[in-house]
Amino acid sequence: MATILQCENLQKRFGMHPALDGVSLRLESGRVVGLLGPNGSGKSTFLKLCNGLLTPSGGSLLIDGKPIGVQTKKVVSYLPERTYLSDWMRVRDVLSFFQDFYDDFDREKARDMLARLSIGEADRLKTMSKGTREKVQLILVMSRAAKLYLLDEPIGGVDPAARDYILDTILTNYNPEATVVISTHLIMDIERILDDIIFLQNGRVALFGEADAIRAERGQSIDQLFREVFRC
Amino acid sequence: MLGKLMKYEIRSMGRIFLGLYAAVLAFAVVNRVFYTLQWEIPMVLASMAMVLLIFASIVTTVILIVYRFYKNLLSDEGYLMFTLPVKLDALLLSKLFTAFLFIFLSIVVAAAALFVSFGALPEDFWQELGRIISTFTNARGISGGRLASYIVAIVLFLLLNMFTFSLEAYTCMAIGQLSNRNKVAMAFVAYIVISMALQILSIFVAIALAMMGEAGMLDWLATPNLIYALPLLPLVMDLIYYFVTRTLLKRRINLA
Repeated sequence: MATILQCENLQKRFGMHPALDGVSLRLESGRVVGLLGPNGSGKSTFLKLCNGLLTPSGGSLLIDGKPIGVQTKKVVSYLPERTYLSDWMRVRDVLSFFQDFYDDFDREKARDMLARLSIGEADRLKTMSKGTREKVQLILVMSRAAKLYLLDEPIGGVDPAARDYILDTILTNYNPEATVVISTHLIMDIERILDDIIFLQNGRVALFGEADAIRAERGQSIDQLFREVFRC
Repeated sequence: MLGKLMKYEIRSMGRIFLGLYAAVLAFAVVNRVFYTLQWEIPMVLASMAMVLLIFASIVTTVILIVYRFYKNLLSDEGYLMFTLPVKLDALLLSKLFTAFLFIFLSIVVAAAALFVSFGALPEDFWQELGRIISTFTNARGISGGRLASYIVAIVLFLLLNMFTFSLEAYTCMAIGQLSNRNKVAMAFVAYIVISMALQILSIFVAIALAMMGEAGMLDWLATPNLIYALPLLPLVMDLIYYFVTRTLLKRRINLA
């Protein structure tokens, strides 16, 4: 079991505000990890640091044993919380785009998943509903054979049926040797698929461990524990 | 990777320009027809429309170069572009080279449109141009090979200047993105500050030249190899802008 992500005292400040205040973690490969915390706890900031969209204010961060750069971007598949595809493109343009830049992209797999959702290759992204666009992005991200999948609020703005579809897609498509990190605050829905849990509070790790172990030890579901720990 | 990135850049920007260029050239052809037929009023109207379109294509080129950089790298699409396994240099150069391409194309289309509508330039024009050039070269004792390298220096100067506009805009936007809340405003502030700094610098240069006195200045201007220094001006500016943009986006990237 290799260590896919390792960070030591990772910090990120925006002006005076510390979004991440010393995060130290070691994630092993082959796990589904829940990055849980209330809004503003630093989840998105952490994921953006892993992707090189922000630079740390302090501490270290290694993915697959390397510092963030072209090599790590090759093995990390990221689903941000927003639409990051060009409006004017059609589905097949986006498929070609991913195929052009990612060696590990499986175009056939993506086409299958899109076809099952009745999303046509000639459809323009501009004409799709938000939910459909998010599904397209998810399909693209999960069609890569990455070592680390970072999903930022993948089930945030969609209806319950879509949520099930998304979680199913994640489970059936992820490479068992890879690690999937799902950041969310909708815990009830994803609890069943998580191997490990990270609670992030005010930019620090409040809890990190195996989901089963935590449930056994505390005698409650992760969702209940969350409500307790993050009581307002 | 640079090639692939440029493919998408050209496609994205080309979509808008193709229509515009086609319109400009269409009006040029129409103009030519009217000119040949000597239909005065339609000719005037068509010329006006064409000139407006040429103006529009230049303005569009400028705006689009800035907008494209901002939209594709510094807004939501940046989440895709900066997570691609490509070097930052490739991302920046693909934008820069495509910008250069479209500036070049808009100039070519404008020239072609004028050429097509108003016909070949009269004999006199070329004779006059030849006379001016030979007066200049004879006065300096320049001939053949020297003239060629003079032309190369001037062409280089013009080409390098075509990069400067884009690079200056990129630098301002790279500075702007440092701000957490006011990225666009910061970019404008950066632009104003840089413009003012360059203005002040040119005033200093002008004063230095003036202090040489008229004779001193003419002597200096007549320095034989001065013209070869001409391309250095935009080259240095371009390199500084590129370096600043690259460093800011590498070490201080701050995507919303």
